Amino acid sequence: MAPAAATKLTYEDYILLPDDGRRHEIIDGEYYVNAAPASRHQVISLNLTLALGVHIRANGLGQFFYAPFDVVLSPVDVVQPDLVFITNERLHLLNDANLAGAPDLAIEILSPSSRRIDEGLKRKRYDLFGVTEYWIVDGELEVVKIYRRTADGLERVVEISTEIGGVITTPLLPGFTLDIATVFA
Amino acid sequence: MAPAATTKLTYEDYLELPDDGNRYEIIDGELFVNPAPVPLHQFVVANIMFAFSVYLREQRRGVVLTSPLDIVLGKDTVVQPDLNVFIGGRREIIGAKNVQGAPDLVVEVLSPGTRRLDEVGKHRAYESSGVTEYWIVDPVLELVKIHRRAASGFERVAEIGTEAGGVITSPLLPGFALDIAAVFATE
Repeated sequence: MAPAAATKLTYEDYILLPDDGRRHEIIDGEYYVNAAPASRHQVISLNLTLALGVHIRANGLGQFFYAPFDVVLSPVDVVQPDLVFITNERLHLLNDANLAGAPDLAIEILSPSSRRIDEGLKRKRYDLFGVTEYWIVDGELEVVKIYRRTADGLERVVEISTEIGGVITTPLLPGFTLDIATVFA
Repeated sequence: MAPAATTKLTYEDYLELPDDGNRYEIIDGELFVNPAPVPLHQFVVANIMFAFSVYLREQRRGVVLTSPLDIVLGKDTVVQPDLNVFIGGRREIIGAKNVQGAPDLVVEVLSPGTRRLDEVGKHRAYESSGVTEYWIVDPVLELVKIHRRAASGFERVAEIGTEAGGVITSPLLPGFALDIAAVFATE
């Protein structure tokens, strides 16, 4: 008898996962779990949250969330990006439990165990489901890589490093500037 | 009393470091200690070494040496890159005890603890010491980043990964072609 085709996990499976402080995700129907992030990760997250959160609130640009926050990209893709920004245009996708669809901006802060997925599979899923902009924040190299949606999908448009210096801006956040050094301070 | 200025280590200090199995390097006077690399790292080094070796011998174009090997880039910079290629007469900087100067082509294969060192510190050191081409090989992302010396320092001219596929070539090695999949093969 032929083996059953591999079943993909779904959001229904996801909500049964334990609330144990670890980061659980389902990506293309497969289960991924990461330990709670390290201190440095959290410091970088706070730096970004303060800069982005304040600007977004002050200018009424939309909603900003930090992990843990469920983003249901598809029935078989439930992720917890480190940081998420939803413009006013996509607020209708927001409900009490999660964001049912792609955010405008997803930010992942790399950890050694998540690097391969964040740079590979997750980037592809964000691309597939219509995330407008994706930032990969590399605390080890002190580099932010920015992917922006073009006709050919998410393209890496710029890499900003503390080594060379620079300022992060984005069409999604008019008036926003963030010195790269502040991200990793 | 003001604290003493930090002393920079030199090659003389480097020679007195213990022979304890740790991998030591000094860059701009600062000491770096790395644990032994993991098997995947060694597979990747071996794959690239094999490709270089075959090519260089067939073409009689130069030599390739792997670590451990002291590459003395300055009085306070001694490194042990994973792979060092010396084209033609450049091999004359290979001495009896160490190499005095920069190889033409340097390859570093990343280990989890060495990313910052390889991508930033060593990038700077190789750039300022006259290395012509610097490859950074990432076994986790299965990606090779190629930096080539241009007018104002290294320019990242290519990123070749197994995701999109591709072949690595180099102006230093005419006719050389290494499929990216072969770099990360482990059988």
